Amino acid sequence: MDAYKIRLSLILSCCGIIAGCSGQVSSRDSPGSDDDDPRSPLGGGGANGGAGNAGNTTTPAACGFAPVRLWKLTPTQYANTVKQLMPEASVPLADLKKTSVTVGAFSNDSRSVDVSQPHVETLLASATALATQILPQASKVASCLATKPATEACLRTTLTTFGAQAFRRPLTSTEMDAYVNFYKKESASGGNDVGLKQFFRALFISPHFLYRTELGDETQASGGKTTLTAYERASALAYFLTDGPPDQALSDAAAKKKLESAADLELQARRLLQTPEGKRGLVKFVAEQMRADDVRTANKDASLTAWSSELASDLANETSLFLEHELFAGGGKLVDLLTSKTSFVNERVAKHYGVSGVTGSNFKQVTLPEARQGLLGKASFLAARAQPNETSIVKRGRFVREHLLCQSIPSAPPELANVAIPPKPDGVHTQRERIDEHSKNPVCEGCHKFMDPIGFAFEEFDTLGQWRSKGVTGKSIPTDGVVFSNTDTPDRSFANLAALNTTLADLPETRSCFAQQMFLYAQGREPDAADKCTLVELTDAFTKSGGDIKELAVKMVTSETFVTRIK
Amino acid sequence: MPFVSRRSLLRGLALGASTSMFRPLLKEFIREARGEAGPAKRLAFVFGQYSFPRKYMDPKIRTATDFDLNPATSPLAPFKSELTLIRNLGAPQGPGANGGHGQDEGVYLGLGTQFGWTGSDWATNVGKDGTIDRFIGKRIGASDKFSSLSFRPGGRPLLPVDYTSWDGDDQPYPAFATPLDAYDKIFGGAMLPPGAPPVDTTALLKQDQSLLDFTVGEIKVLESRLAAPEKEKLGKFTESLRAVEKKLTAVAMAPVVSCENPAKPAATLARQQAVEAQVDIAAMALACGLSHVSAMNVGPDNHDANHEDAPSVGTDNTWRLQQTAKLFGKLKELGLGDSSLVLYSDSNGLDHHGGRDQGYFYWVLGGLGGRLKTGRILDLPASRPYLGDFYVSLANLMGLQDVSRFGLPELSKGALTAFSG
Repeated sequence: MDAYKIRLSLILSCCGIIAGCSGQVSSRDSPGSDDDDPRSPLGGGGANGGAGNAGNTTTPAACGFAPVRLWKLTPTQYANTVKQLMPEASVPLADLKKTSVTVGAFSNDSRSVDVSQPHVETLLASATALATQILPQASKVASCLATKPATEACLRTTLTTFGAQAFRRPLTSTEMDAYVNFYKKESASGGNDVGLKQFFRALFISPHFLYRTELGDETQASGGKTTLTAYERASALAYFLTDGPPDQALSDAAAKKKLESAADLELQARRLLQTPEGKRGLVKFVAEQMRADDVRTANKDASLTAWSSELASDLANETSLFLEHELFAGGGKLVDLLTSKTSFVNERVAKHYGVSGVTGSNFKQVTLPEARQGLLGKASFLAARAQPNETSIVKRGRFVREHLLCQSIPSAPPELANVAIPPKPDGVHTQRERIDEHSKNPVCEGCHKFMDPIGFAFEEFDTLGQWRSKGVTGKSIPTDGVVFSNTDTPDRSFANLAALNTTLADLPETRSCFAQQMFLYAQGREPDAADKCTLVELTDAFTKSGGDIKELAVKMVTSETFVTRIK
Repeated sequence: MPFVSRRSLLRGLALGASTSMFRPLLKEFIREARGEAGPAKRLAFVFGQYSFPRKYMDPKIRTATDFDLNPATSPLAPFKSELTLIRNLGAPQGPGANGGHGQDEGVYLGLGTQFGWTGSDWATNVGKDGTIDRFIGKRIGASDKFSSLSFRPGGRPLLPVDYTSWDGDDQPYPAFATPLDAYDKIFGGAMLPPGAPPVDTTALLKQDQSLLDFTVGEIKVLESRLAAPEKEKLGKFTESLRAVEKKLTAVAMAPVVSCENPAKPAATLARQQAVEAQVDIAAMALACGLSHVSAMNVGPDNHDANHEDAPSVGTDNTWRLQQTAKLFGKLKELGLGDSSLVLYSDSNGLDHHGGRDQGYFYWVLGGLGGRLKTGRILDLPASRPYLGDFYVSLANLMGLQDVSRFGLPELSKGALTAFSG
């Protein structure tokens, strides 16, 4: 989370949105930004915008590109990759996650080095376990392995099929020779079983298995740039859209050089987005952006007996089901994520929401009241952004600013630690009343005007995300507020959460933020000033499509940025 | 304790010492070193009772990771970088009929609600899951000689209140009453099924080294195509691979204790000597893979001294920590420091009376090879009890990843991520 905040701060310090919350909030304060175009969180103007289109990879040359790089598989990607190779295999996913250290806003950030000694030990143990699982049924990997000792021809066949699937590309002849010789050496001292076990251990601990390579085609490199090879494009598409390895159709397309044009990529992207893995991948992206799993570790006061880890887990699952429905069966647009009243509840969630008629542990589709609409009406968001024993206007408002509008709110400087500390709950004053000082004290107001008036909208939901008509003080709960603008666009007032959702869905900043998040997830890196044109292009296309999220993903993969790397 | 080198050990095995207890230990080492161990970590609870007052326990804290140990806790000093002091664990179980204190680790380890004499019977409400040592031991130790070990300082017939380990209400798990009792039961009899094949550690090490060399060779080829920042990623990968290799080599070549020859304790020992002997036996049993979980009450019965706030309370606690440190130190000597957790706590918490809520604490020795952040004080917020969460974390760390709750639902919300990540 800290890394995420740092990231946002870095991005936004470039464009200066809510720069230091000085109260003079304007992108004109920002270094590196010379316009207020809300389409670009990087202060993107229209200079380069709109140049691209879905049919050609025509992003202007001034756009930024990632360097030639390695991209380590996340623990989930590793597990998905192993499962494709060995569907019955047991993968130590929990241990891999526990030893994994990532950076950035999303779990798949390409900058993650993530090879600490404990993590490598876990990977080595997993490689050993996988090789051990293969040995008794090696003939399933390649039928010729039933003959012992393995012949060189058989080993090469194994590498051509199983090895190529593991590396997501054919092995070079040099690599083939190295693996065959490794088997020969190991089997010479330990016999066929030891040789084969070592052979498969080596495949599973290989950097070519553990990393995606984006080295590009050296023969096509020019002007300091190169483009991804066909197999690298297949991996880039697959891991972005499915969080897993290329499927057979994608690998076949790579082999037949059918991933060269933007049209080729678009065809595959649209196909993948209809597969279960594609649905899983897109849901994962939005869920990570919204931190939907944070509810699983939400800390609640022990006296709140309505809370349990089972409920927290169900609420996270509700959000996943909601996302899958809205993205693939509903409208599929950003506005749907914010305003749809459809959701999925089981008995536990229904009870939590006050919905009657749902029993058992299975989730059923229901229509929720207007106040519960969209992602921000879900208890997974409301409970995760609250104190253990009361709501948090500030946390909820801040989340909206940072995650839906991509605007950074700096933490209070230490010198303000003892300034205007809100009174503790007294059973008399509402939280809104207690933090009133935030709007009166100019020292606080500079930042809090961007958080608190948004957070007011959620006050009808308690710390557990349960609806309440009155607060702990017995007073009715006002939910009106304002989304203060940090550009020349007007401030937007709203009456309640439903109106806030509609307002957010309508804001260009929300669309540009979503496009920026998609860029981050797809590229695994921070956008910088050079990426402004790509971001504007994405935002424009996203707007033109009415905020269609699948179309945004397709636009992303057909951009030149997706397939170009700097050498 | 006699030491033999790995090579001598192998020679011994080659000479046909097939009934020795070398093999379980050796297999354990090799499995762990190759990352094949699964739930093979060791967990040892050490307990005192009647309180560990703040004046003896509190470190001088500058930051969570910059602190000076209290002089009374000096036995832990050699392991300062490997310890975690967790405070404010809390648990809201009400006082038993003993007036809220006593030898009630059962309640502490089981998150029970009451323990003590109710007027007609011993109330043994230790919690529905039993105690956490048994909960873990039963699940990971099915093939061990003992699913868990439980030790008492002895000296008198055991009353229900004297048991540390429970499988549920009214189901105390037998404790070893004396060191000799423990020795005979743990180390008596052959440890291996007949005909078990010997383990060639040298060959396994050679295979690992060969594999790592091959992988590093692949990395070098790949590196040549990358610019500096990306090269660094592979550099770190190589670094970690070599560190793993170093660890494998160190483990394979480290001297090991002969499991077949722990010192047999005398039938009668003074209390402190008895506890010290039990610590030796527990370390050997855990190291040899005869069990993976241990719980030990080390005494002494210093109830009155606590009432009087006598200076001996400080020295008693120092001695208890000496035993704790000794147990961890022995496991470290055996090369098992990275796969062992040794914990100390007091079932009265920080205060003889009334220290139970936020006063509960654990000293944790061990970092599981870098998996845990150590060398720190972890003060939990006072918003709710965390003891159940801490026990869930211990279960997870012992390989029981499916455990998300332990004990009463209201006391257990999931793993204590501040501790176990």
